[in-house]
Amino acid sequence: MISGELVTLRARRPGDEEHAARWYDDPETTRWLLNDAGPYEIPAGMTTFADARFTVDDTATGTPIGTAGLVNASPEHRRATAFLVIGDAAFRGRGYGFDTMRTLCRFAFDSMNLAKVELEVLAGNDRAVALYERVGFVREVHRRRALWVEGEWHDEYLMGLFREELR
Amino acid sequence: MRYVADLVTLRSPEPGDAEHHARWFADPEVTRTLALRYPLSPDAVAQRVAEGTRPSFADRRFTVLANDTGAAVGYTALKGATPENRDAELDVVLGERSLWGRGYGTAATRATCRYGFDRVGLHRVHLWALADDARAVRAYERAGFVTEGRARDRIFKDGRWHDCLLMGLLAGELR
Repeated sequence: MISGELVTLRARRPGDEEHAARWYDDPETTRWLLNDAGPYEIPAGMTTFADARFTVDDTATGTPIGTAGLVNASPEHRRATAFLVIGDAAFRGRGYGFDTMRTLCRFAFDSMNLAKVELEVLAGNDRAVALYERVGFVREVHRRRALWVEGEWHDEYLMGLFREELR
Repeated sequence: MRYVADLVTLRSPEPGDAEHHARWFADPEVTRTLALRYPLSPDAVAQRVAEGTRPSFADRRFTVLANDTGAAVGYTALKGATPENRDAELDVVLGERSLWGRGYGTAATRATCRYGFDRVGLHRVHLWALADDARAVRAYERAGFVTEGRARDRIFKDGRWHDCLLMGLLAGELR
């Protein structure tokens, strides 16, 4: 378990699917996702360098509120792609996403020994972009018409964070 | 893959290397200092070589070629690295005994470590040497390895126990 100030990142376990199904029924959640949310995968074995996907609990109540993790980690280049979904609308706009991303990045640097964390975000998702910038991420790439979402093209940003930039 | 260095070139193992490996493993002077204990069948040798043709972060093997003749003279490997610790165990085997004492072992050690630091991104390379294998220990020291510890009676071979030296090399220490 990985503790932040508000949240705990823990291994996914059976039962989390039901919470995830609720998150992904909310169009406010899915409108910002880069791909269709498939079934919520519960990895059978241990969390590993290659597959570090977690369920995010509100530490105070133990309620699962979303998911976050690091995927596509490259051992040679020492970078991975982060993702974050705060699925429970009651926990949006209150610092839970910020705490989750900061905690995830600290884990990436201090435990996984990565040199860089990257992420992709829809260009119109201002709240998320601002959150990532508060964590320390820098916009590196503006990829035009990168995603076909709800009948229109969207641009996306590729953002990156070095170890020494984490706030 | 070909990685050209002083005196030697590292290249990816190929199935045809099994022939060389079989010859080297048949030489008791070569296997004397290796962990190998039981004779290997041709199939077993071929299987070992085939495993080496599928490199991963935790298992990279190389066939060592002499630059002057192009002939395969031995093999090296970097094994067991995890992405978090980035520490691999080094194997160096110079199978062609006629080339011993001429700097090929040191050259193969240097080339493999350089590859590990520059291409794989390792932080550290370590190895276990038989404590009385002075020639190997000297070659590793020439490349920059430092003796970090002595494990008593670590290997039983040829009717007796042997001490082993743990030697380590950090990125930036390679000479």
